Amino acid sequence: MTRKLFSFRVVIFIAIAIFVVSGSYWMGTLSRSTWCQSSTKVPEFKIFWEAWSLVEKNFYGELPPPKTMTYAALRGALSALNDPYTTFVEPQPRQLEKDDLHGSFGGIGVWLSQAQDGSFVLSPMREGPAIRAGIQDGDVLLGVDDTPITPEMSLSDVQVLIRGPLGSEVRLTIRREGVPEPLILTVVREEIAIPSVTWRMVEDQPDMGYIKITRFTERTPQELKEALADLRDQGMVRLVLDLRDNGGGLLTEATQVASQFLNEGVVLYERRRNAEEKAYPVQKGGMARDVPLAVLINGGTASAAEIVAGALQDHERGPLIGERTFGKGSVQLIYDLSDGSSLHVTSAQWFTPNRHQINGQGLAPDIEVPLTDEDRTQGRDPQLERAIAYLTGS
Amino acid sequence: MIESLRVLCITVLTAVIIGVTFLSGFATGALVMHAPPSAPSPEATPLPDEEAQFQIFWEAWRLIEENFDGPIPDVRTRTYGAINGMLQTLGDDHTVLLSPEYAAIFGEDLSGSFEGIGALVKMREDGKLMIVEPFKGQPAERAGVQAGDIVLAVDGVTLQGLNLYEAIALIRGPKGTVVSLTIEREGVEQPFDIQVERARIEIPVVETRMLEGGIAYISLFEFSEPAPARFREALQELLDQEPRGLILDLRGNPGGYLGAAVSIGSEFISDGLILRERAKGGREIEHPATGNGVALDIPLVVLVDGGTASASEIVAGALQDHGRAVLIGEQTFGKGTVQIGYDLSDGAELRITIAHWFTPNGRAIEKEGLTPDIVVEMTQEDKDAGRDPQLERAIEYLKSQTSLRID
Repeated sequence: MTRKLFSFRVVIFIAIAIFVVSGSYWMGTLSRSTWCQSSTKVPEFKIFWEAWSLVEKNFYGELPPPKTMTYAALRGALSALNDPYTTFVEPQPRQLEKDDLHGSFGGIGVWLSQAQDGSFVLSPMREGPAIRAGIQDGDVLLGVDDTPITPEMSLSDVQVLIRGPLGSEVRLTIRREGVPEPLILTVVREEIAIPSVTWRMVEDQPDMGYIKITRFTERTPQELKEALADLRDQGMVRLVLDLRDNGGGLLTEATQVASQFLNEGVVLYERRRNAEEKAYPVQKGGMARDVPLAVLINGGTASAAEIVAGALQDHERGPLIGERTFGKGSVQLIYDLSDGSSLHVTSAQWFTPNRHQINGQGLAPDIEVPLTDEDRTQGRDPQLERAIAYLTGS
Repeated sequence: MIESLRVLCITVLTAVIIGVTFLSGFATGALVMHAPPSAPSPEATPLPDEEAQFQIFWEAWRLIEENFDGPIPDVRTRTYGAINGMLQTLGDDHTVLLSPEYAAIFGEDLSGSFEGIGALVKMREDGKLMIVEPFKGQPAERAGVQAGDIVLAVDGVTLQGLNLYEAIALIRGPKGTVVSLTIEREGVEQPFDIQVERARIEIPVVETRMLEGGIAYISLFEFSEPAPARFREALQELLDQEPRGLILDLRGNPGGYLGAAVSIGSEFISDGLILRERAKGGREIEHPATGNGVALDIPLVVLVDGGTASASEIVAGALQDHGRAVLIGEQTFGKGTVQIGYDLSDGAELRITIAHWFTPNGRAIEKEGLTPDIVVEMTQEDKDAGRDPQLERAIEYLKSQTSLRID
């Protein structure tokens, strides 16, 4: 089921952080339905129980646990909707997903990746409990508390073991190259923030800033403000906003991000079934309303990121440079079900201020610049170069 | 009791026949039996703990109905979706649900005849129904239907959005009635209607001919209900011409009923087993030869390839284990499980894997297939040039064998 969740990613991370970014699909509003009425009796559904009991009675092989069958039945019913974004998420990944969208959780500050042979390799973040406890890059994880780590486990299985309440301890058994015996390290969990915004001044361009937003979490607007303030202090008067491979995130936060660059008007329209169109207006007080902009996009720019890019394009705040975006403009509501799993239901569609439909179409760049595999292997970034050239007027 | 059940072999389908379907249209693979009519009807209500376990399903279902932005498919579609989802957890490709349309057409085809227009059709990738071949002398051909024609509508009902089986269900109907096909044909500007009077169509099962040097050839297309009788008849006609050798062609034969496999295998083997079946819980069922075969001694070659599956593999495997025939061609499909088909109350059929089967010597077939005694490949080039090196090798082999005998 983890795979299902991950399959929606637009971006593939090679090393998945322990606080993994769980998906670049979008969520509109987090809402909750804590309880549900008793089973609706649908007469046509009788066929299902006929099939179920025949399988239980006659199938030659092993039967999976009833819960697995139930979840699979639900997925099967959802697939009849023909909507890749209406999905069911099982309890464990759901917790991870919540952490990711919240932007922080009780963790140890380590990147976790799974090697070809199935072993789990650690890499501590620059700051955090892991590096302070002595975990080194390349340590192989053998056990978490009393649970042995095996190659059959998934990344999210291991993540769940490592994460926990703030202040609690977790005991890691690791193997380190050059050390004959396994090492046991105890680490206290702390709140680990997942940065979503990185920034710098552009090399050789003393007045040009660069901001990259990787996704839209609860913390993104604050991080963006810090970035803008810091760059302004460094003399930024023009800006490259990089939304490439940004798979989306929370809508309200995306609206706030767009508002930093806009004076007034609408950021997006949302249309729900059986409801009037809803406008999300620009929020006043943006810090970079007049800064000349160039926005980088590509096929990994999806959902909430397309909202931001689309709004900036329609308000003519700057050219979109790069490649056509992903085209994910439908909105999912996330409902928590009574057993801790959750259901993402496509409930609305998004439109840009000029009422361009995003879903299935994406946004076309104003200046198309492809990024070839050759560029990638040679470390070239012609899209960024084009943005710099645009902003310097050359 | 199981012995009395009909078992059959099928697979995924690639092409089907209109109002006329062929088993050969189904891809290779499942040995299916029908549930005995006396079987108790399945419990249609969940146990209380199952119902509780299933609660979450209804929570989600209700949320979808209240909130989903888009067309919500009908309850049947979602129910089938749920069943298919549940079946996927079994990790067995052959335990499958057939919709009522599919089940009806499939059952009819295995009966060996149906009432329709007599044409092979397929669903193209663009969702259009195409006539692959109108059968010679059958109603479709007589009415002027041609290969390559696209059927847009049947009796004025558009086929757009229908799957192959739903489309076929519209075209088939009682013999003597007339069906109107709206046809789109290359080179003809406007679509036009063709009226076809339906008839009972016998699905071809065997093909025979005498080859050079007194060698007889018999090809079996599928193990349908009438297959044993028709095979016996055709085989007897060949034997009456006193051939020196016989080639049994099972290439591309996806299988059919288990009983038909036992009957046809028994034409060549006087005693001993045709196959062993291992059911749930390890119970073994032996299927012996029936003992009334008519071709027990004639030098025999069986032609096999990757499309030889299931019931075909039973026959080929038995003949190989008994040393009765030489297998020539390519590795077979490898379908070694047995399905039983249960009719659900809405006409759908649930096909459940209930057993594995093994050759008389106990060889497992599942995912392995049979390796021919003489491997001869058929390349695309051969096919394009109309060459059949496998058949040529079989003739060569039989000539050398029989000439030894004669000497």
